[in-house]
Amino acid sequence: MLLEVTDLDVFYGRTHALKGLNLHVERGEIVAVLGANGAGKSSLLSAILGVVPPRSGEIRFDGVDLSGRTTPMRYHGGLVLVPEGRRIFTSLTVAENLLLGAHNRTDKSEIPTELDRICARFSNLAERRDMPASVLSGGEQQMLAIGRALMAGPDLLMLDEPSLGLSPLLVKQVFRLMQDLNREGLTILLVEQNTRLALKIADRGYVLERGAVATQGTPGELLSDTALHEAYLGQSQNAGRSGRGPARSNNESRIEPRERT
Amino acid sequence: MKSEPMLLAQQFVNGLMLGSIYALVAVAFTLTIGVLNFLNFSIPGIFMLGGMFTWIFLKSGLPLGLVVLLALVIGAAASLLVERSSYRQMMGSDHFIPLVSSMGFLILYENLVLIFWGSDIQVVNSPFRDVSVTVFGLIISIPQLAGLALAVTMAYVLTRILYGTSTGRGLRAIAENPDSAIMLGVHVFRIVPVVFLFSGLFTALAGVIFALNYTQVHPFMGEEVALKGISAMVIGGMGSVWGAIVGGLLIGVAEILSISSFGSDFVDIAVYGLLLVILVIRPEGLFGGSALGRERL
Repeated sequence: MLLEVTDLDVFYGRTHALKGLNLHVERGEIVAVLGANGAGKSSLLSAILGVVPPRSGEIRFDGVDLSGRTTPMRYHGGLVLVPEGRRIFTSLTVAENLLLGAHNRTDKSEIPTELDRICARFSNLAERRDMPASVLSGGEQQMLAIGRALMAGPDLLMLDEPSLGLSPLLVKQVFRLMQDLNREGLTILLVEQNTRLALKIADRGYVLERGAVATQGTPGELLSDTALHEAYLGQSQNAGRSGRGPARSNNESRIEPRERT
Repeated sequence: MKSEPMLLAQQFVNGLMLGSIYALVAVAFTLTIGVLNFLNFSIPGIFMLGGMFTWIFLKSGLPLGLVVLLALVIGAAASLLVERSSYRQMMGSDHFIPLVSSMGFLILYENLVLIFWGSDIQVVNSPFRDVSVTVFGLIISIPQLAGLALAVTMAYVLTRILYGTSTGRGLRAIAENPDSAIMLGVHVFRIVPVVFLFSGLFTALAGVIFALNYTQVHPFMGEEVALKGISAMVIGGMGSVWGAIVGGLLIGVAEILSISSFGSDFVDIAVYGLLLVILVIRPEGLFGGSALGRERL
């Protein structure tokens, strides 16, 4: 087991963001984490990376308990994030953004080779290597964010809403890239609101609801599970009392990304 | 007796020399505000420590090289103490909290020196008092020249670090967006002390040069210089290292020229008038476009 999260409790101030969450990722898998905004998906990634300390519970990576390890140490150990909204540094050049990804590597001599490899994979980025990252389009920025993460030499690549703000065509590209990386042996933990697309490439999925796992299973199991619809729309309690609204059916094609305000 | 243009040229040179002290202080402010968005009020105290310890060590008969080294070490240590015991503890809190706490350090440093060495103005027995070189008829004192050369060299080294090393990349990433940098595993706790180390070294060096050059030190010597350093930073465009250097030199020249032309009563009018004029013409400062942390503002 590459990643094992056990009974994880996370608080933001008084907000109980994760409530006894359990999750695991096997080596070589793509695991999707689904759920509405505020279900705890990003909190989970923050806790795995040590950006937010958990109140209780355990996170083990490659068999090692991560408590007491700083975020840079976790990056160095192979846990790497492609953050939501990409978080490109626009005052740095494209190449500098990529190099920043290798910040925690100790095998410094490998970094130029890795940079060439990434540039070979993303020709759009290679062309703009020495330009400020602000000149990149949204899709290119997403590629840069993924390239930067690959520069760290990840064992587990975690992506937070990689489809956000991209055109359908670019979303497809990003998802194809994830599949390619996975075939090359990279383990992926994918947090997505684009449920159907995520389940298309995932081996297993978890549906989070109010900070806990509501359902889990293979894409087939999840897609046929009505609980997914409820959890994803974040209103199972209301649904339990008053039934589903007329606009919502069990028809799977109705699942669309939905911003809650 | 010198001719009028020669006199003016001499004043200009003197202005540049004084300006290099402001430039060093301005770079120190630039680093902490550009990278950490933190106006470090302990800087005048560190400047004073650099100056006072130059006097103290020279008086005790240590050789000059050792005096400078010790004064720089004390300045850097005083700056790192601010980082460790104040900034690091309050990183997540509101901006004004580290600001107020750094002001506490200024008061602490000033009054510690006051307790041990008194508040009198002390005369530094500078070995350079009468050592100068003459270039094209212009008299240039050695510590002044060294000060200018060091200011430019250190700014050059600093930009090389900022734009050519892994630490520099991390620094600029923190300057642009600290939350992203933390989330992406940038070694914030390893890089932030580097900022304080450099800002302490720049400031203490300015204090040492001031002491050797103007030969007068006292516990509150840092305050006026720091105000001019902040003005220089603003003129240069907050966050730009070279802007801070240029701003410092400009203020030095403006100060000396206004003294020689209108008398010392006009210094503040000239210096802060210059600041005002530049802010009106170019609110982002001279080099504001290339400033550290510009994206955050």
